[in-house]
Amino acid sequence: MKFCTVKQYFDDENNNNVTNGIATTVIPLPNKHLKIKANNKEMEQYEQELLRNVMPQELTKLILAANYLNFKEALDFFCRTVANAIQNKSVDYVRKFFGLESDFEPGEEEKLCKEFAWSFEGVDED
Amino acid sequence: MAKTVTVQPGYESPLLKANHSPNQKLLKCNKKNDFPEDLFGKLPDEILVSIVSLVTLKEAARTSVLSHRWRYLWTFTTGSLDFDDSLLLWLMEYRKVINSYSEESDRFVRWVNEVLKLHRGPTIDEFKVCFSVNEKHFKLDIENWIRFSLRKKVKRLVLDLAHTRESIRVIRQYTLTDQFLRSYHLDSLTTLCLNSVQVTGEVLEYVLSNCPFLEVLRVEATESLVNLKPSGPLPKLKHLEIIHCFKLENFEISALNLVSFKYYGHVARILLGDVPNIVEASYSCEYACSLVTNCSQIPSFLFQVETLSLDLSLRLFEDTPRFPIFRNLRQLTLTLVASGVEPLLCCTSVLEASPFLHRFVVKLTYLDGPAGELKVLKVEHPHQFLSVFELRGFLGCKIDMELALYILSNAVSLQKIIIDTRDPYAEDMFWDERDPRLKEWGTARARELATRVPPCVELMLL
Repeated sequence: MKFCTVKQYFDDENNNNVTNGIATTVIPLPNKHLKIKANNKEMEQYEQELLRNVMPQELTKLILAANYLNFKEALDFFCRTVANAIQNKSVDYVRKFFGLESDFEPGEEEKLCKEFAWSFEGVDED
Repeated sequence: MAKTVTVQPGYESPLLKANHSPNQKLLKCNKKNDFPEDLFGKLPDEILVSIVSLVTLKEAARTSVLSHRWRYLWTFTTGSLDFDDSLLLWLMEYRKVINSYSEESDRFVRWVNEVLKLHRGPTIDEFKVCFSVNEKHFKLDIENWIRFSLRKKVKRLVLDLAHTRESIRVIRQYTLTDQFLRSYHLDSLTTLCLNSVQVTGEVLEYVLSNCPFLEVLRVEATESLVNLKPSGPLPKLKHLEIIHCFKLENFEISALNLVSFKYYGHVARILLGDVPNIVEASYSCEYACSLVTNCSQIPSFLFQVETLSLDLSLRLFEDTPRFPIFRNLRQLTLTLVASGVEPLLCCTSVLEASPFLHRFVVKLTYLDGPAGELKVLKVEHPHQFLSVFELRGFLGCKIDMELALYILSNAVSLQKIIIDTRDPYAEDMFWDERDPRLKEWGTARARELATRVPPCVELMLL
C-alpha cells in the first residue's frame, strides 16, 4: 500500500520528481520508522541529525518525494522537521530558511506586522 | 496527518484561487520567483499548510509576513488555536502590572474573535483560551467560540476562563448548558478542559455520553458540580481530573481504561469502579488528608498505582499516619507543612510502607525554627530501592536537614539527592514570590549538607 507508487516510479523512466539520491533516503525510511516508532527520543535524535546533515533545499526535495510516493508517515515526519526548524525564529530567519525574498511593497509589510503585533512576542534572536 | 497531493507541472492551488480578495495577485507555484533558492516554492499550498499547522498560533500568524504567497496560508491551519494569556493574568494578580481587568478582557476577546474570523481551514486540532472572561459581557462571544470549535471538529477544547481573586465573588462565570450543546456534534472531542466554567453533573453526563472518543476530562473550579454519575461505561477515558469543585458530593464512574486520576477537593463519595490500568494518582486538599488519617478508607486502586502525589499541606497531623504497604509504588511526591516533628515521622512512615519506591520527592512549605541539634532517626530496615530523593523548598531548618540526613543514612541504594531551594509552588507560578533571602539561606545550608553526602551519591543543588 505504501509503495504502489514506487513501482510506478521505477517503471516511469521520464520521472523528474524524484531523483535517485532522494529515493535512497526516503525508501529506507519505513524500516527506520517501524524500528523507531516506539521510541520517541530516538526519533528526536534522528530528526536532529537529519536537520544537521540536510540543507533546507534537500528537505524540500525529500518532502516532494514523499508526497509523490504517497508516503504519509515520511511526509509527516519531514513537515514536522521543518516546523521544528522554524519554531520561535524571527521572520528573517524563516525567510532565509525557505529561501524567500519579501515581495511586499514597503509600507505593506509594516502594516502586516502591526496587524499581527500579538504574534511577534517572545521570538528568538537569530 | 499531512495530506499528500499530486503535483502536476504548472500546478495552481485551488486554495489561493478561491479565497483571495479580488485585487490580490495570484502566484503560480513554479513561475514568479526567479530565485533558485526558493525550492519551497515548488511545494503545493496544502503541504505548506501542513507545516504551518504544526507550529503555534503565533508562529503561524507570523508567516503571513514572509511573502505574498504566505500571506493567507496560515489561516488554513488545522493545528492549534492557542490563546493563552495566563502570564498577563498572573502579572495583574500579583500587581506586577496595573492593567484594568475589563480593558484586558476586552482586548483578549477581540483578539480571539479577529483570528476566528480569519480562519478558513475546515478543521482544527485544538482550541484553547486562557484568560479571565466573564459571562456578563462576553456570553455570546464564549458561545461563538464553542460553536466555532465544534463546527471545526475540534479535538482538544480548553476553556480556562480563570477567575481571579478579585473577580471571583463579583463577576458571574460562564455557565455551560446542555441546551446549548444539543445543537452541535460533540463527537470530535478527545480532550475537554473546563476551568471556572460553571457546569453541572447533568451537563457533564450529557457530554460524556455524546463524546465516544473522549480521553481526557478535566473540570476545575465549578460550584455547580454536585453529583456526577454517567450512565454508561467510558471505555476511552484515560485521564480524569477534578480540581477544586468544592460542592461535589457524589461521583461514580466506570472507566475501565483509566490511566491517571487527580482529585483536589473536599471529602466526597468517589467511586472509580474497576480501573485495572491505573498508573498515576494525585490528591490534594481535604481529601488527601482524609486518606492519610483514615488509612482504612484508602481506595483499593491506590495500591496499584506506580506514581502517587499527596498534598497534605492543609493540615498538621497529630498522630503519625500508619500507611498500609504500597507494593507498586515507584514514585511518590509528598507536600507537607514543615512544622514540628510530624513531617519527618510522616516521611519515615510512608517510606516504610513503600519498599520498592525509586523516587521520593518532598515539598516543604512553611518551615519554622532555626536548626537546633540535629537528630537522625535510624531504622531497622533501611530502604533498599530508593535511588532518587528530591527536597523542594529547602531552607536548612531543623526539619529539612533532619529529613535529608535521614534519607542519606537510610537509603542504601541512593544515587542522587536533589536539594531545591526554590519555592515549592514556583512551578505553578511564573516566578518566586518569596523573600530572596530564603533562597540564600537555603543555599548556604545546602552546602553544609553537601559535606555529609557520601561520594557515591550525586548531589544536585537548585
